[in-house]
Amino acid sequence: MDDIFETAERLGIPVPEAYRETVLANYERLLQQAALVMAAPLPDAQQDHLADFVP
Amino acid sequence: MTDLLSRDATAIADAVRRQRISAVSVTKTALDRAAAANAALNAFSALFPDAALAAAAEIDRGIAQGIDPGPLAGVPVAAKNLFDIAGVTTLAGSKILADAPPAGRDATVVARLKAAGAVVIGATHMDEFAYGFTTQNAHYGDTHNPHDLARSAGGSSGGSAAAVAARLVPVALGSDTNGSIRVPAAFCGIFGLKPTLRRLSRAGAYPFVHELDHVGPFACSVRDLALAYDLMQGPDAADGFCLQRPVEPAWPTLDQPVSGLRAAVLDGWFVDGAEPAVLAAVARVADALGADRKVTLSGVAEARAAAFCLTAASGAALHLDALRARPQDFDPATRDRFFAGALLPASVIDRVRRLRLAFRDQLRAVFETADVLIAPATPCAAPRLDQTTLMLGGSPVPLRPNVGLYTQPISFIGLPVVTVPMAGPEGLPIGIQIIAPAWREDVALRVAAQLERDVVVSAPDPKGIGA
Repeated sequence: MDDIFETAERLGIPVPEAYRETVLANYERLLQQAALVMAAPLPDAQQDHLADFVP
Repeated sequence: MTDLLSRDATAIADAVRRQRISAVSVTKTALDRAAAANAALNAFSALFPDAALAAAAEIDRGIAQGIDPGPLAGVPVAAKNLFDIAGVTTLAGSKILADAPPAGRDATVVARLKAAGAVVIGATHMDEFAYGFTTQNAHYGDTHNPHDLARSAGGSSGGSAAAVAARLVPVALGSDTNGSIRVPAAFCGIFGLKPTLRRLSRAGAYPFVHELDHVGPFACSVRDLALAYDLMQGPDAADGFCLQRPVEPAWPTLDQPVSGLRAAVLDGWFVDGAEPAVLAAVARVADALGADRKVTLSGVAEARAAAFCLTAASGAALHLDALRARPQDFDPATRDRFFAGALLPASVIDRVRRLRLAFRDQLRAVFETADVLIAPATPCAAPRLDQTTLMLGGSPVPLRPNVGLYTQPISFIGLPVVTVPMAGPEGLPIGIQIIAPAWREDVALRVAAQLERDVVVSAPDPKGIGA
């Protein structure tokens, strides 16, 4: 997981050394949630404009 | 006067309009009480005595000249400190914005309340950039629950909820991205309304997650909640996200009976892990509404996860420049999550949006056979401020990210919700979500009003601080 900080650096988002341990813990928690999202079954591609959501 | 402030906005406005009491007198009393209580609660980040008393004097002058100031005549209100208030720097709970220039104009919803005669006496405390469920803030301290000062007021709109629960103001404004109106309303034992996404203008409200942000009111009575909501409705040229819908008043419908309305209880995710007292509160509401049907939704864990990811990624994108330039000036709890969110692959967010449509469509189908859904607002009553874990189904889980388990899936698809308060164990309140179909705030408010008339729900007087 350490290379995530190298990726961040290349994206211009340097994460100071002092914060890396807690950022990593949060990133791991976020990835757990992201994995649920990526594994979720979805119907076929929908036609709605995705970012213009109407309840 | 103290008794009058402990009553609701409607009663105060009536007394002011009839000149039984002056707006200046009401405002002065509210300011004095707020200042005195704030040492214990830390609910207000700022009070505005000069501006509030000047506004109140103007209202009194108008009444003396025969001008009706409106249905909130002389009513003291407060606004979470992410709403622009002309002449005041909008902090959004941050140190980053502390040096920003004062707002040039009021947020639309603040302006609409003022236009109805409300007097804004102060700005209220919040989690930094609204990213939290507990109103614990590394820069400005914790907000304390009026029912037990050792406990959380909930967040992120905890200051507004605490101010209303302590009877310092009858109405306050909050925002809700993942539960930030509903959680503090539940923990503080008051009514809260999260309207349909895109119903109320967000112009002049500091953003958090563009696709999820809602604004709405807190109050101690349903009629105050509905009144404030009605007064804030309507399209706004300053906010393109707010849809061009006509004002659909809910207040006049509150007395209509709810017999015939089909209520159902959300099962599965929405009861798993909840404390017995919370489940008992849900059962009491269900009994009162004759809701013997249960609905189990699919994909709730995924919907909640999607809201979690969208929040982290979108919030991070908004604050990316500050994260790069001055990370040391963030609350550590906010900063670490924003850094994590900035590194989330875009493919996740695309899928989040597709999931959102599918989950919305599932709920639309559910509402073809139900008019309201009932669910807890939180898995437990207000936790202690020093508490870091929550027992969920017998297992400890981190407290802060899990307080909103039951609120996040609902705000993810923008449905309107009224949180109703009930007495819980050890004098701590419990909140229940009354969830309605999109654009049917009137139905949720009508159900809440019936429950209030039947004394199933009510905002309990706080024990932690004198009302």
